[in-house]
Amino acid sequence: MTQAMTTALTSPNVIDGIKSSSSIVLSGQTTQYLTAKIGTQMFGLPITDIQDVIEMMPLTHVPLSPPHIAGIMNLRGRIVTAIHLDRLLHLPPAPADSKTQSIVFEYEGELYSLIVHRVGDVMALPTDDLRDPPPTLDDHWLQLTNGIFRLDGALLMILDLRRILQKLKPPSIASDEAAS
Amino acid sequence: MDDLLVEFLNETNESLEELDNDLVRLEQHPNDRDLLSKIFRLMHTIKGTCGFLGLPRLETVAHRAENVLGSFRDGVLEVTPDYVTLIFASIDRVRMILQALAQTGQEPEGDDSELIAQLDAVGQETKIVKATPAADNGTDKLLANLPASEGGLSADALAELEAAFAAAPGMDGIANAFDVVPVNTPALATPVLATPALATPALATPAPDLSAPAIPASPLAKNDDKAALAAAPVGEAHTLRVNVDVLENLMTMVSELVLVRNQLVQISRVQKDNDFTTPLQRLNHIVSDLQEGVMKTRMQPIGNAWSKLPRIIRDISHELGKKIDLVMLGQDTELDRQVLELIKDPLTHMVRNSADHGIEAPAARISAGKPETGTIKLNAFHEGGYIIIEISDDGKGLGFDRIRNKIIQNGLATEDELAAMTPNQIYQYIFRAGFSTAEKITSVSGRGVGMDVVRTNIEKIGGSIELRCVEGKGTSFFIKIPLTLAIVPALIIAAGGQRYAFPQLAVQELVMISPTSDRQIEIINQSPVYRLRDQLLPLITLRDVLQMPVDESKKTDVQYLVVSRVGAMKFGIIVDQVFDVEEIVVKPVAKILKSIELFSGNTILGDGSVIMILDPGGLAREVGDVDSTQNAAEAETTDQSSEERTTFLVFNAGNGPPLAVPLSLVARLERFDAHQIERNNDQYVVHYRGKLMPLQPIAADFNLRGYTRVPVLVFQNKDQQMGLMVDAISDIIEDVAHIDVSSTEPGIMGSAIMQGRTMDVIDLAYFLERSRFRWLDDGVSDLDADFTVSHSRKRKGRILLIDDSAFFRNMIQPFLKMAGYDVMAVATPKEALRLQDTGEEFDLIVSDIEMPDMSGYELAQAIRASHNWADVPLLALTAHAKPEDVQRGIDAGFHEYVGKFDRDNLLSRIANTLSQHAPRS
Repeated sequence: MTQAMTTALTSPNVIDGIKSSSSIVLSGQTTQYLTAKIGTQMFGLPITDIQDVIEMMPLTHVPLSPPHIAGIMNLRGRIVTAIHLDRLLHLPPAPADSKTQSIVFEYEGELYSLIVHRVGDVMALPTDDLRDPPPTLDDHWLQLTNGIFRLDGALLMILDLRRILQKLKPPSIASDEAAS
Repeated sequence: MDDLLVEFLNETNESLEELDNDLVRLEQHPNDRDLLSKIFRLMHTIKGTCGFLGLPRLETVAHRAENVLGSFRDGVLEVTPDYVTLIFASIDRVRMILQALAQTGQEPEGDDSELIAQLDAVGQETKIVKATPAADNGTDKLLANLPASEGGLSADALAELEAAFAAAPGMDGIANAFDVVPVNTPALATPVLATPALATPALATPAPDLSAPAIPASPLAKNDDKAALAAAPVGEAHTLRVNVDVLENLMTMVSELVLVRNQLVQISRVQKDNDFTTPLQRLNHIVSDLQEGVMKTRMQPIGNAWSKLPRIIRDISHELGKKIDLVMLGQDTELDRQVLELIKDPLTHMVRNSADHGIEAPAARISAGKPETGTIKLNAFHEGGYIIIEISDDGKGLGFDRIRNKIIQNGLATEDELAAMTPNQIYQYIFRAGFSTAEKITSVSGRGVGMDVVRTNIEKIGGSIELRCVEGKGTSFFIKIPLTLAIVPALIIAAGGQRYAFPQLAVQELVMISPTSDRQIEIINQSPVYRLRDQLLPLITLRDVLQMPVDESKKTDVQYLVVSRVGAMKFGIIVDQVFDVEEIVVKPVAKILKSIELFSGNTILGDGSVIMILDPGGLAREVGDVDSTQNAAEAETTDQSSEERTTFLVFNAGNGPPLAVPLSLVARLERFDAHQIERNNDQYVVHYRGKLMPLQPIAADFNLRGYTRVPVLVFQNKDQQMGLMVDAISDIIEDVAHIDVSSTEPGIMGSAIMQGRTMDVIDLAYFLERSRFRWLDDGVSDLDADFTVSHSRKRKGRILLIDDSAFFRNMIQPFLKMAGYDVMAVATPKEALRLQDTGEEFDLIVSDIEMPDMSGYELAQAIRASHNWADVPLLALTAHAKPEDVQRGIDAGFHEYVGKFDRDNLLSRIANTLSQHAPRS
């Protein structure tokens, strides 16, 4: 991963102007994304934001918490707050018998995890191909995304972890931050 | 900033604090030579070091102050408060300059000439007094020439030395070497002065010229060392300054280690008998020791937080013209420095409050019959894993009326609400925001920071604060705080199938309630309550509060009650299960969960699972939400009004209206199978708890054949038991009992309307009597040996009972009679006093307190002043006995206080009181 990053940063932007919607461009200004699925919808997260991908662990439910908070868990001695991504995006839940996975990341010194139905491949995508999400997109989604990539026969929605957590914060703190 | 300067600032700040306290002591003991020498040395060291570091402004102030101190020490100037104030002013100036130094690294601009002139004026007085030949050469010379103790003299010599060094060019190197701090010195100076051994003779060389030719170099060197070391606390030679961050880091790591240890222990517990058991045990011990050791490094004596107080009290007493003694006990009690820092300001604030508002001016104290000098006492001690700090004064109290007025003025409560509150509840208002009762704002306090800030700060660190106040006698605050914040003991409980940690600090006791328990959870006006001893405890169900589903699989008949206390609020939490107490490492909850007020953090348990830590404060607010008005009235059964509320058990028997009996008189509720009940000569009995218990039917036409199971109210008096058979137990209600005592029906005392229903209150005495005679007549001697004996003997004593409530008269009288006393009951104190006039004699008088026309206190005074009864022991009987009531009663002449509902206690108190006061034959 570090290797890829270095390549991305040092290689000159030579293939300027070549845009392909049918294949993944491996050189040029690219960003690596970890893909994950909720149902059939594919999402991408910048790989530099991610700390860990883990299988589901026992969770402790946090009473009185909003429904998208799955609970808290112990990841090697640190407490991680797990979030149901499907509920956050108002998507149907995973089938009861399926094994979900969890993408762990750190935000402001605290560990969080997004529970997804299935984690997919890592993709390196040209930064220039990132498109603004269509304004007709569902409002829940618009608030949480940075943009989308058009892939072969699918749309990859890029999630913005910062915005997800801003949205989840209690209103008072969130508005403070917005003001500052 | 220069390392040297930082070191200097640290040391000087410590010295200044010491100086403050020493000066206060000096003022009290002006002739303490040792103390004077110590103060002089401290000031001297400050001055000396300033010279080295090139801080002329600081040096001048310190120097002139030292001159005055020198005059004290040499006995040419008397220690008077005015002079001490001047020295304090100098110290404050030094402190001010130091603060600026710490911020900017530079001495601040400013003019000290006024202060210096004052100090010099004192110096001049000295000269006039002494009139030594050297007078015109400035004080330094004067001091140097004065014959004085050896130590002092050499110190003076040193002063001269330093002055010379400061004046001479290129002396910085020497100065640094003098402190034995290796720095980049000019090449010339370094080789010669690199070691202290070498430095000493070199420094000593000019000494003979300046002052003391007779003193050899070595003692000078010794003194010199001493002066240099004086800033370090005496007797702590083996100490090391360690950066606080290092300690914090260490603590964090130990916390993690504790968690891992807990995990390992848990694993080992599951897999019994493996090779790891023994080493794990050792690891366990080592980790515990390590934890303790690291904790110790963070521990500081609480005296550190108090060090500024003597000075504060001294200043306040001077400014306000009061006389105040500050007594400090348990200064050595240690607690975590983090906690110490957090309580420092609240403590200072409270002591300042006591001095400013609590202690009266001397004249007011004398007219109140108190010693002229007021006392503020600070006391700290360990209790469990907590430290208790008591701050008490013998001042005028909090001013009950002023607080009342303020509450109404600020719209915090209405007159009616206040009328229903106990004084203690009213005092609690001082902890509300924006509540300051100081009539005028003095420079000392009344700065708008109130007790609310104090309470908030203390609760923030998981502590609690309580207050006790007796008007005119004084006020006491009790602060309970955890020793450390990082690792706290917590009770692990479960509700709705999940575990939670509950801080042990807030746990008062645990109660298990099973279907056979004496007392059950009762429902009053849809809110659950539990009668814990004489208190009615509002309850919350944790499972409901947390909105957790009922865990059907784990459902049992047994309920657990965690009795907790937050501030003055006492409440019970119903939980499904109670586990161990575990030491937990508190970790903050994620920001996105912060808004849930019921949790104060989360933690990882020994088995690796993560659980939430409940916030007692948040739960207490839940209790308030359930029904705040009702709880205000019920949280304490001590209702101040004379309208005493009583809780009744309501039941049915026969065809009449529902019947009621005071719940407090009922020991238990039972249900017996009809076939268990035997009939023995018209008397029903049942085998109960290893004995035969007589049973009485309420209804006259009772027939056992109509029942399969019979509900029975069990009454108990010591070993004696009696059961009342009823048809059905229907309710528990609480209301003021206005009983119309006009019934002629046997067994019924009268009827009352309670909560809109008419019911007959039974005359328990009637049933007890009936039962008792049956016992005797039937000769069931094994049941009642004690009673038979007491009955056959002559009466134990003659008691006069005074109570305006017919209901209580009728309740208490039979109990006393049953216990073998001869009882006479009257309704008013006036009637009682008439008996006195007619020459009636009693061994003991038991009186209610709240009565119309004449209160129990007045009665007690009248009895004490009377001719016949002056020596008769007096017992106060009341529904609410608070410490201040007890005191008032004792002042009025009562010997003992006893709760109305506390029958066993009543009997034992009576017996005690009678045995202490020799009964007449």
